[in-house]
Amino acid sequence: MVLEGLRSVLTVDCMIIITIGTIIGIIFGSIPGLTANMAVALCLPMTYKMTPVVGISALVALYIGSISGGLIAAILINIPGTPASVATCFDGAPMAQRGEAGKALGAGIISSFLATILSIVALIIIAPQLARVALKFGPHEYFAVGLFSLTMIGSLISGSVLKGLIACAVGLSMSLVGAAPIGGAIRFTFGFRELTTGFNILPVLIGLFAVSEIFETITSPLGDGSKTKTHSYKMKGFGITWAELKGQTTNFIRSFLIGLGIGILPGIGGGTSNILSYTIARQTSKYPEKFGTGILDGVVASETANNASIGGAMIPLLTLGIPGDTVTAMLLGGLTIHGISPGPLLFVNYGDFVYAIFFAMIISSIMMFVFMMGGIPVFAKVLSVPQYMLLPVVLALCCVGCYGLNNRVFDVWCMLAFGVVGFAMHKLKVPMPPMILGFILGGMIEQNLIRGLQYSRGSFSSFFQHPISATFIIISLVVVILTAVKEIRNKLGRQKN
Amino acid sequence: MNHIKSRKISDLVLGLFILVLGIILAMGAAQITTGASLQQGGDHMPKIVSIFLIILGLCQILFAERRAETIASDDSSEELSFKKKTINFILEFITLFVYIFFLKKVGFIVMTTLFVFVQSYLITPKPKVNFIKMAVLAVLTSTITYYVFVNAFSLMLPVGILG
Repeated sequence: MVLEGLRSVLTVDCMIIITIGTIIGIIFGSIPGLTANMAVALCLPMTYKMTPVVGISALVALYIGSISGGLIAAILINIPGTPASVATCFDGAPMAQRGEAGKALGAGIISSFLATILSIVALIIIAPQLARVALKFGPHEYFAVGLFSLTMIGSLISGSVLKGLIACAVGLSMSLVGAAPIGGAIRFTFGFRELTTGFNILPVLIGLFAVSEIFETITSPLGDGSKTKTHSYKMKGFGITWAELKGQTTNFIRSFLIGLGIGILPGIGGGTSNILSYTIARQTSKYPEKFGTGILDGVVASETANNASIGGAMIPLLTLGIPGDTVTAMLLGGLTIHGISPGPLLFVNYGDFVYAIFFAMIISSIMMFVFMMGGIPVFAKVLSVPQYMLLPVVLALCCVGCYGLNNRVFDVWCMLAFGVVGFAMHKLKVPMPPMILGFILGGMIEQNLIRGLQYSRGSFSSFFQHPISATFIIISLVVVILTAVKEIRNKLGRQKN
Repeated sequence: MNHIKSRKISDLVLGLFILVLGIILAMGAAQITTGASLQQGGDHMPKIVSIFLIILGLCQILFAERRAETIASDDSSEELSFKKKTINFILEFITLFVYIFFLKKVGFIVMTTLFVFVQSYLITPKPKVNFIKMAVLAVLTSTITYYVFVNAFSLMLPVGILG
């Protein structure tokens, strides 16, 4: 199985695709305004006719490249290339201003590479074990895990638990469109035959992520059109000495564990982990006052955590079909298009395919390291391409992706509609990831809720008679209540002050 | 102050939107026909979600802490910026709407060329507008995309009037 997986990746086609995917990913990651989500959304239609292994390899290469590429812009122009590199700016940019851009880039690239590789190792170790446990899951457990995922992301990701839960509920209501998973009753199609099977995942994701982000960028000032000023840099060897690297060991391990843990939590990825890891690195440091002035610790903490989230985010995706972050939600769309349903049975029925993904991720990581170490001058040049030239092209390609899915304009209309919904939600400060997760998990939650109720003749108490299910439901309730209480206390405290 | 005010209005708008969505969903759920053999049919989940939406919408309205007097006074500079942003968004939306509407009838190459050109014009800072550059970008984007997707990736894209 392992060898078959390796063999299917070590083909000329696949290696070329991984190479191209990694380079495009780094370019998307390095250009502020273009995100990992857009990279995957844009390149998905190119994978429609590829074999599943080649297609998914391309997407994971884009994922790894784009998350890693964000550090280039963060360090050289003090603007994060992706949300996953926000904290890299805090110390990377001051280092560049001091003439230490080479060191910051070197430390960032090495941290990104090691964290990605180690997170893949964690994925390889944890995922099959988790899949084995998940094989024993029945409808009660699946419902509880789905509910747990939703409440966790709804409570933890935004500053307001209420808005997080609203986002989850909106996502769930989007998943109700089309034939019911049990019984097949047609619901909320408003006379559109195309909606009988529900909203297609891709137009929804492209609309909510790519199109809404473009709307957001377009309605913000795009600058005066002058070329972006990049800091000059010199890089000898890896840019960082062995002693400096060794000095970051504790910081690296802690940041890696934070990134991996955040990645495993459904819906939350590098965008959250880099900031959390940076904050904890500062709090636990012997010299917290130096953070923000340009020290290696800040760059290593941020870049380790965001890349560690890659392997982490793949764990719930492959074992339970629950995306670990927003990019893996796009990957879920890619897997679905290629006729593959992620979940514990994936490891039983398509073991070689799973190992092929693992190897594709390892190869992409190595390529990312090589290209980023050797190609910084090229990627730095890409930074000067103005957004007003790129965004119209990206938007046109988004339309191609949606149209090509079923050769129908209806999907492009859906993309536009969800683009507007995403833009409005952004303006109303409603977090997007819980909505996406609600939409993706809605079908699974409904199906297992109904099945569970049917097993127990309509009694919900059976969900508390299964230990795993009861545990997840109780944790979900506790998390929501505690977060809400904490929020109300904070609000009352602010009002008193 | 102005920021707090606009946030409160947006919170209120969100609450109302969620409440209305919940009510519509509840009305729709009541009309779903389920088989007699099914105790819990296709209407079960929509009913649960609609109840949640109504509760969450009401909570959002209650917690919005709206204060009517703050709505009246508005900072003129922010108003201008808001107006500009709204106009930008509407223009983008209309361009995309027209593009999608005519995509099948007129064809991918023609519509994408026009779309990229108009989009570039709309978002390029005025001192940097260069019609020749924009036209070249538009033609290259549409033709290269068409030939790459159709020939290399075997996707069918609408030919339209050029077919």
